[in-house]
Amino acid sequence: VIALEGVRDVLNTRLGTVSGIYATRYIGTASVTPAPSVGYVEAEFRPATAEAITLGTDGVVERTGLYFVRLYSPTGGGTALDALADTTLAAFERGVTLTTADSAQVRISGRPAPSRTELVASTAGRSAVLLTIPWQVRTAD
Amino acid sequence: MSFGDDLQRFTAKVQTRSKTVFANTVSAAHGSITDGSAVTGSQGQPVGQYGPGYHEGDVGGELKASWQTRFLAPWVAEIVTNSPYAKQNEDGIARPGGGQYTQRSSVGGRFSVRLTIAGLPKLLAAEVRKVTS
Repeated sequence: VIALEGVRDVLNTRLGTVSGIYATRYIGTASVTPAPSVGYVEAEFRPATAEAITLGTDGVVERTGLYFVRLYSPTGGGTALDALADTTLAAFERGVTLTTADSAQVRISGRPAPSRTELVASTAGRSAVLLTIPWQVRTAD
Repeated sequence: MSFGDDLQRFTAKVQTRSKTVFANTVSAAHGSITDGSAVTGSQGQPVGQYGPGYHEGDVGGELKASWQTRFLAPWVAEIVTNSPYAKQNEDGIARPGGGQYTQRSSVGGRFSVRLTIAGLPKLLAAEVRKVTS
């Protein structure tokens, strides 16, 4: 049985390699409030389904889920955030395959395709955007 | 009893089953958004748990009850809400102040709509199995 933490970790690692990504990153659902001059990232890993797709006790199980990335600009940084959201989305385009520490292949799927929202402006001057990245992993277990 | 009669009966059966599958899939998608689903992984909508010190006297469930399904055409349906809390509960971005939208409820969760959309093929497959098995 695959360790889903490995899937989460490889997605988080990929996120960290995005050019220009904010250095302040929060993984999970902790409530945070960095200084207004600091742009930051929240990432949430959500396993969703597990389904046997071949017969037999040692058959292949397909697990799917969504990886959510919220990007928050520093105050007044909406334009740069828009570009950063596109760059981040490109790092998780459909078909990208990532390998976990235990050699499982995590594929960014296209059902639905990875997507992002429009910028959400706040009265505090920050802008935010949500990226939705579907993933799937198939393992024999 | 001709081949043509058989064909007509088969066509009627397929049409009836297709309509059943469509209606049941829409209903399952609605349920996935509001109540959660093991098929999609959605946790459903949170329900306000109010009491002393926090919205005392209010009754939770407004967001969950706000979702409606409308059948617009024979093969078109929409699942909608007019709740002002729906967007921020879905994406976790607080409005209008920004930052994270904190979930206080111990039931339900975020991303119910997105998880339901991602799981729609599985919901459809489950409904097809029900009418064909």
